[in-house]
Amino acid sequence: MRLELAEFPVNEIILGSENRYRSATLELNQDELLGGLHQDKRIENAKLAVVLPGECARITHIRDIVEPRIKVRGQGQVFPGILGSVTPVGEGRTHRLSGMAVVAAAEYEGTIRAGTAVQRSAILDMWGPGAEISHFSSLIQLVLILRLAKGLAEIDAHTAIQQAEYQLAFQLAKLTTGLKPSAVEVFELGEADPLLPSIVLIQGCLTHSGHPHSNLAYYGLPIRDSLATLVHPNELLDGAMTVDTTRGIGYYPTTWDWQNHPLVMGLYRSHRKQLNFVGMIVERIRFETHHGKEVIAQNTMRMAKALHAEGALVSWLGSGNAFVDVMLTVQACERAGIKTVLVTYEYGGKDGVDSPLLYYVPEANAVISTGSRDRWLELPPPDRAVGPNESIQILTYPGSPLIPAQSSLTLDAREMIIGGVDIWGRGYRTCVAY
Amino acid sequence: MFNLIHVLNQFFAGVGGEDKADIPVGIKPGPIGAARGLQEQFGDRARVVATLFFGDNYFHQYPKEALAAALNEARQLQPHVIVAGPAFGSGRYGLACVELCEMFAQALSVPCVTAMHMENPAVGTYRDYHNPKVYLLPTAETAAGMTSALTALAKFACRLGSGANMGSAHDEGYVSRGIRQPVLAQRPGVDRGIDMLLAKCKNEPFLTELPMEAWDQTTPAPAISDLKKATIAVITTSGVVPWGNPDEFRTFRNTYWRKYSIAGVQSMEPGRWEAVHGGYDVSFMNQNPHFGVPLDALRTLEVQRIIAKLHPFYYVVPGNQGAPSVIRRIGQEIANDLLKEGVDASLLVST
Repeated sequence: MRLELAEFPVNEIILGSENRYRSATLELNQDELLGGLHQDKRIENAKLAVVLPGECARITHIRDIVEPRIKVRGQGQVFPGILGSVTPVGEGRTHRLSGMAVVAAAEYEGTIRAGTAVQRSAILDMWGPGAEISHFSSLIQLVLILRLAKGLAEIDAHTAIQQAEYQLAFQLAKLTTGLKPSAVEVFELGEADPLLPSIVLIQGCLTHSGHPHSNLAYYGLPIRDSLATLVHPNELLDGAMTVDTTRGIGYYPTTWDWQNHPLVMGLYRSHRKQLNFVGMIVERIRFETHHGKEVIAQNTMRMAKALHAEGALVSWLGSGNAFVDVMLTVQACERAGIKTVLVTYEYGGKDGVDSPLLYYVPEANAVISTGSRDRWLELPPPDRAVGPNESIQILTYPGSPLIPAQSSLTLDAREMIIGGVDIWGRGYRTCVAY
Repeated sequence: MFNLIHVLNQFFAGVGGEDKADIPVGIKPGPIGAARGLQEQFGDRARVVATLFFGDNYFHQYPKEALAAALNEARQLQPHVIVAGPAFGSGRYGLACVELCEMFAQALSVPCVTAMHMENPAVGTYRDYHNPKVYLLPTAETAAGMTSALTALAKFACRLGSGANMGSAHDEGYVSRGIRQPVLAQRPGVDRGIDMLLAKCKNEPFLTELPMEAWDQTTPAPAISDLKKATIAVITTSGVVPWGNPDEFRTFRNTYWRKYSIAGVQSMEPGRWEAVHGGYDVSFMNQNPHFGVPLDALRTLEVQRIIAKLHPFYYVVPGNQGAPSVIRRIGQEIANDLLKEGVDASLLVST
């Protein structure tokens, strides 16, 4: 399975009268692009704004971020099962607009007051200390500002937001059809080099089986009480993995993160040079019982064994007891002779003296720390706030206060910033013991 | 050249053996006993201005007096650095070294270094203090390792005396105090991870960035001898609170607890209570708050006289993402309140 990813860099976005991509400039006609969205009764209002890296601006109400892509060759289309039919993807040629992203900034109150299904949104500062911790601050952001109809149920809100952002991104990528890319990267697993170790990526994924949306979907199907699933990394590049767009949280990946999964990219870079990348196991985590956690750990190890993996890069997404599933997986692999390295963020509390992790197994003797999620952060006020409302709710609990988006903020953790927690080792952050 | 005080027990100060273990805190100018060895290691880089000593038993019988006397002596000498031990495998001596270093670092803001064997129980106490001014170096288990321990202490004390910015536990060679500091690595996490995995696959050495720890074990209180005479309370981390969340609990990282009256209440009616918690799907709890506060069952036990009485308040903190140190403090506060209220036992309902 061979996928060519053709790059079309974007250095400038102009909201103008035409829709075209030329010399790394994206010119957009807002009315034309958003005309379709206004026919969706779930969307009260939609508009666009451009925000630049380094600008003293704060984007609010962020639910998801997506990179514009389109398949120009090979079967299927990006976001299979969502924008089109459930046709296998990962082959052929896909165009991407790099250096920019579409941000879905939606106002949505939600019908659920608390718990794991409650709507949440995040912010992104494009300058200052907030920008330093999020990889998204380096991209030109085309913000899709949405106001949803009142009283929408969570799954309707999700579908409306997701369709709106994906459709918009697709239309942008479509402007590159027939044009010559600045670079083409080829992604192909091919045959293994017998002299190199075979490495599998085990991607633990917290999902909620009982929610309208489980938190993560494969070809548009929410993953619920699933056992280990083998996914070709190229499928990610074509948008086979998608997220719940009512919950923008710093320790969850956005669609953009799945399209640009740093561990997948890293393993591909080393593929057939230092190792054989044999694929990705999507491991559903956060089973409700210890029994369930043990079963998924053993089941995942079995699949890694079946792939003849000598080593496994283990990572996860989520928080809380789902980490027990991850650690039991590390243990199961090590006991079965599969060498592991765990890539994880750590906790540690405000001062870094609380426990860095929630669960320990002695077999997890090789861990990459991507930094602490708990450190406090002071954000100065922005000159410009971009979002559907001038007030934001940083904390989500029954009765939590609204505060002006254009104020200074004291955050007691990094998760309120989209991309604020480095879940997959994209960046340079880590912690050391003193 | 800088000045330091060397702190030793009576034995290593050369004052006497176990028969002198009851002597109070004393001080002699210049190096005596093992401090002479330390001074030799320093040469003219540092001066041991005094040797402070104490009886092992005395320190543990009169810790307050011992610490006050030691502070009084040390304050006058204005040392740049304080060295305590090495204590090797001796638990009493090790603990005295850690407690003295902690006190000196707090009261005099002086950097302190001690040394002992990694299995000395005082290493745990040192870690629990998380004091960035106190350092502990690993040693052999017995005094056979004296020379190498003094060499290491002297070298480390010189680093402290130079006023250098001290690096991580790994870089400087001291035992980590469990303080995790954010830093930027040379390379992205992905590249570090792949390299570590390749090294591991080739059986080459690698260094984890996050060593495993072990959680504290809690010894349960003795069982209730007669349940019929017992007052029982409920503590819940489910986040079940009166509807409307009157105390503004957050769905995660709460830092306080509350107790709510259930006096005269026979059951937890849906609509009167709600779960404020970010870590589980609360819909079932809102439909039946008894899953968090099993009042129906407890009232039945009360009527059947299986328990004497249900405490008229239940205690709650939404437990989601609570930092262990915060939750430990909350637990202690709730336990104190339960004791004060004469509660004999508590049902702990988690989610």
